[in-house]
Amino acid sequence: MKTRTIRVDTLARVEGEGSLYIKMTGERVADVKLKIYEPPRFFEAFLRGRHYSEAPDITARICGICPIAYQMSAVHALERALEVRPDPSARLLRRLFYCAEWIESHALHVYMLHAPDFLGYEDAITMAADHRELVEKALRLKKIGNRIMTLLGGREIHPISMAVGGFHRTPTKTQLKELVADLEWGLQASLETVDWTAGLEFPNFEQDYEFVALSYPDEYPLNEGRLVSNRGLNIDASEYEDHFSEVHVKHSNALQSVLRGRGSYLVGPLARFNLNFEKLPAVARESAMRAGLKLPVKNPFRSIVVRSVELVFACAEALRMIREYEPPALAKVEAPTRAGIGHAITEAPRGILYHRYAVDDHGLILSAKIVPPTSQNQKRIEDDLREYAAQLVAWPQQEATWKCEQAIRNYDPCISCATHFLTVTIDREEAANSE
Amino acid sequence: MIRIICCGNRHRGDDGAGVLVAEWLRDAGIAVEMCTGETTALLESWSGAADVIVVDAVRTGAAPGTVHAWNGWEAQIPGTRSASTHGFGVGEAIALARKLGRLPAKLRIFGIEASSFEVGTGVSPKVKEAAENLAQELAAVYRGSQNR
Repeated sequence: MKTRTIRVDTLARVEGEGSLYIKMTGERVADVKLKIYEPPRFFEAFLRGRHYSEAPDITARICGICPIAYQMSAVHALERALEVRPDPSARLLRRLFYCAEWIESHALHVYMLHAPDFLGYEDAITMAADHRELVEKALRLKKIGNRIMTLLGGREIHPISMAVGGFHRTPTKTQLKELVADLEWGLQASLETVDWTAGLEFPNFEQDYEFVALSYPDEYPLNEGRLVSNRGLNIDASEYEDHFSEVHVKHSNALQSVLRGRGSYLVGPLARFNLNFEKLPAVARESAMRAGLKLPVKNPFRSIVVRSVELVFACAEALRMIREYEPPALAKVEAPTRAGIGHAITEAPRGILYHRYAVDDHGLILSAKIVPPTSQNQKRIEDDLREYAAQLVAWPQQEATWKCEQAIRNYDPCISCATHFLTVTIDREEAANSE
Repeated sequence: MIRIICCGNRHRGDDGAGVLVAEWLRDAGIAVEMCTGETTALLESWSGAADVIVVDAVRTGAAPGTVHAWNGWEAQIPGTRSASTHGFGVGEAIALARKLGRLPAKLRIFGIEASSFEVGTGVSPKVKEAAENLAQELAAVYRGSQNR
């Protein structure tokens, strides 16, 4: 019997740090452990006793890559707890804000983090020597997202304008119109990105996933909708904890999210795309068809194409929001001080982000629960690796390790959100016991 | 005109050192850009500037509170990778900027040696003291450059 082990100690190009351990015995994958060091649930504890109005600013600091997602889930959950409805223009601005974060995050992942895997480079820095145009495109797309974030958020990092009930400050129509030329370039660049990713080589690997994403009647989902799956799930955010639970696993200090009675599930671009394809704007749908994507997309490596289609969506949707924008009559609807419980799910670039808050009659937060997308995908990543590693038994150690890292990056895991400083480690050693 | 860019996260222990420097300088009336420290964000922060100072928490194995000064054109910047929350930080930004011809004409990096990046803990006393001393020095450098 021949046993070999793959261990990666520092998984680069994943937000944060983590470690992966795979053990192969003969032709069989004996063990897969994605280790995540659990955050001390600091933010949930830190929010207790704080005034609800502080929650958007505090939660925005959980992650430097997706602060808007945290703010969005926080304000929506608190607005449900306090029964406030912002002005429709504020809803539109929030959609625009979220598009900006998607543009930044997806551009970073597609070009700087995932593309090097497909092109055979160690990282974006080595890739830049031969493919300068790809890196330049990523930087320009990111800058466009950042420009919108800065305008709407009031500053470049840790935006401060979003409030329960709307916005502290809203832009003028003229300010938004100034973004149009950039976004039109971004739309074109995103379409080219879809075409380019479609030409990459993908491993032959498909899985029978349960896809979970928001679904809203006439829009590709960002901020609201029911939570649905391809296996019949159809719930309100307030029912989330009746259907999903977090399980403690021995090898990782982190909690893994499971659908009760069903196990792992997939959130993020693939899930959103498969469940909401017809709600994409025509320009995004057409680019997807041109790229040869067939519904449902079950090959996780093709997530780079789907993420690019979502870049097209985000640019097109941002342009639509700018066209339709009228400054709100009331930037911020004052929330009544009342006790309540509110739940919200929004679509972070990496997948659904769940928040629940209980507020007392002084407006103080009694409890908070946050389930980030990476925790939700973690078990699914392990399940993918268990299947995928079996295909790699005959591969040389170094290449197999690389392939495993690439498989993890399919999920764009933001491990600094799910945990603090995850050290993803894939180690691999070969030990022949017999044969 | 010197552009000062401070990187860090106040909720991750000594990674808040850069934030302290920024706050101190702003209180002294000096403009500072805050940055997450993520590679592409840094490239953006220093674009268009000819004289740049970057402040970040680092881990090189030196005593906590040690302040390192590197020339961005010469040095390999150690330890910044783990200081960033993204595994992809100041050192990588310099390497990438070199490839793309986006390195500022003058780039000085100040790394404050951290002891812990534990979430939820504050900046440790030695690091806090180092941050304040560095801020004072940078204020003098900044004002000196204005008087020239």
